[in-house]
Amino acid sequence: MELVLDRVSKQYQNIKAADTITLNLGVGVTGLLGANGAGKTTLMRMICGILKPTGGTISFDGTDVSEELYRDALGYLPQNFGCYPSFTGRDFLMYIAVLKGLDRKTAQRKIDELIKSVNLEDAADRKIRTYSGGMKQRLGIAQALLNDPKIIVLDEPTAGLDPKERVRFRNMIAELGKESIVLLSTHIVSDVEHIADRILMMKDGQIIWDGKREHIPDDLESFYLKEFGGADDE
Amino acid sequence: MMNNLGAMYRFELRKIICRKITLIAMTAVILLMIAMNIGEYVSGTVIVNKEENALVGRPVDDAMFDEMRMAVSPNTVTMDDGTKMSVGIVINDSTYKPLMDYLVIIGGSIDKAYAMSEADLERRFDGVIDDIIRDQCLTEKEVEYWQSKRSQSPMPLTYGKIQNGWGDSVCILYVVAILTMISISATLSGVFSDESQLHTDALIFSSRNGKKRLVVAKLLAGITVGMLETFMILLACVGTEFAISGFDGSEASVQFFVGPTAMDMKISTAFWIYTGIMLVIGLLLSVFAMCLSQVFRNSVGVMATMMGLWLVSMLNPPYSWRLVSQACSFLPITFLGSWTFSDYRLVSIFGHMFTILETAPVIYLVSAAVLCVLTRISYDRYQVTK
Ligand SMILES: Nc1ncnc2c1ncn2[C@@H]1O[C@H](COP(=O)(O)OP(=O)(O)OP(=O)(O)O)[C@@H](O)[C@H]1O
Ligand SMILES: [Mg+2]
Repeated sequence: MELVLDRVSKQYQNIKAADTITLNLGVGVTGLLGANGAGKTTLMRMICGILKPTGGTISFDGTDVSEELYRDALGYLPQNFGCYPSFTGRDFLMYIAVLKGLDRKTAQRKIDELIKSVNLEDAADRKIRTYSGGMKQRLGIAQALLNDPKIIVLDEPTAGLDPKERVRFRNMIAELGKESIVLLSTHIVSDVEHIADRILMMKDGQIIWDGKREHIPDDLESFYLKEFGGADDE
Repeated sequence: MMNNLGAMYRFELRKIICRKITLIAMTAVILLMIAMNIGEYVSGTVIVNKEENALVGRPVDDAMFDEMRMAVSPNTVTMDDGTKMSVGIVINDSTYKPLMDYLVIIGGSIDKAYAMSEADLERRFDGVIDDIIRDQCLTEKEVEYWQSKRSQSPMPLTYGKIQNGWGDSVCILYVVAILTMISISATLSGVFSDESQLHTDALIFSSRNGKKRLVVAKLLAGITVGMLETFMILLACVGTEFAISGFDGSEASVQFFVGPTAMDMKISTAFWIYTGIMLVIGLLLSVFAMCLSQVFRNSVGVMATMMGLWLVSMLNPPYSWRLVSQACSFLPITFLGSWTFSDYRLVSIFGHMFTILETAPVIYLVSAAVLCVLTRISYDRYQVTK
């Protein structure tokens, strides 16, 4: 299993949000670090096929990002995760399952399973408008995993989670990373330093540092700050 | 993997119906409609005359005029200089009052109405129609078409109640069209734009069915709700009209209600044609609102555009700008008025001539189909950038 980005670029009017990025992502957790505006979200949107690159190609085991087969393998948690306030958590998951093409039975089984693993059992049948920010975020994580995705793209998934949920989530990601390609963006180094098999650092639309597990410095935090010359918001 | 079109359709229906504005707009519009009709009745603008039923279905001929002269007479006063002038009507038998009132409008004065004959009436009708034909700068072929129509149309006219449910409905359907437009633009403006506003578009476009098939489910759900809305507003309007004015007089000539026209037909026929066209307009407005919602991705923009178009359709370009003015005559929101029965401009397709009433529904259906395709194209190109 391999996700291949070949010279991928995205040009907004006068900003290069992604600058000829070439990457191969394999099974495991890849952490994507970068300051605000570095281009993380832009890159992830292109990987999820909801934003067309101005140049380059993206494919998964030879399947182009524009194909239906590619979407079937994809699970995505967007940065500004949105949902329908008038739906219950369970309804919302069913809607996404329908969009992902799951049949009713599989969907129901999977929904029960995920509600448990993101710890939303008590809230699942309540309207989403009554959810807290963190509960919504967990619902977002659950919807991304409905179709047992091979490619999991999570854009700042830990935003708004309390420390307990953060730990729970980290374990979940580590588990997923055993069988899937997980790409996870964050500002918070501690989110990824222990579970990531690989760290990418992004700045001005470019990958400026790419390190495998064994090359990740022990003190990633200060290394990261040094790389960004203190210009980071963290 | 499944297409799940049915399940998507049900979810989309639910999303539209759960919008608060849907229920508010629909209830408000329907109540307004009913209140308007009942208000006219209570205030006396609409008078229900039971005696008049005796005349329903009879030809409006000299015999009827003679009877009228026995039943009503002008109230004449002598002026200072010796001339006589009619200042009102004395009614002995109210059966003929509505007819007399009608003739006063056609004839222009009480005396002329009182002296009306079948030939007179026909001459007056012809005069009005000839004037309109001249105003509309018709081609020779069109004039020919209508001359032959007129020679076939039966005179004398058939009497119907001057105030009946059929006629009242035909005359008020343009209000139904406006209210439906307002209600639909409130209900369906968010079908696509809400997804962008709620940031659910990222989830939708990254899923297999969301990217490819959801647009179909959304269009179908929107059309379902839009048509239901149209139907309910129509029912509220027509229902109260019939409840107040009754079903009698379905055989009456449409000319009693919309004025002299070469497009003569029974009022009930006119009613069914207008009702049918209203439903097609409901479909067109639904698809139009959704198309704007997809293209703008902003529901306020959709509503503003639809209101703007309503204003535009109230402009009447001069008849001499034939193409522009004829195109404007098809604008759906202001189509269903009495004026449409006096629009004699024809559309020629492969040498066949079609009247405005024949052409409009076809144009609306084709436009709705084109708008669906445009929506789909725009949907396929949509990028998540917010
Ligand atoms: N729709 C857009 N139009 C123009 N420029 C954009 C658009 N979206 C993003 N950009 C620009 O592209 C660059 C990268 O933005 P992006 O959202 O990918 O950053 P990010 O790394 O996700 O930041 P954050 O940590 O704040 O989420 C920024 O300079 C941003 O201003
Ligand atoms: Mg971002």
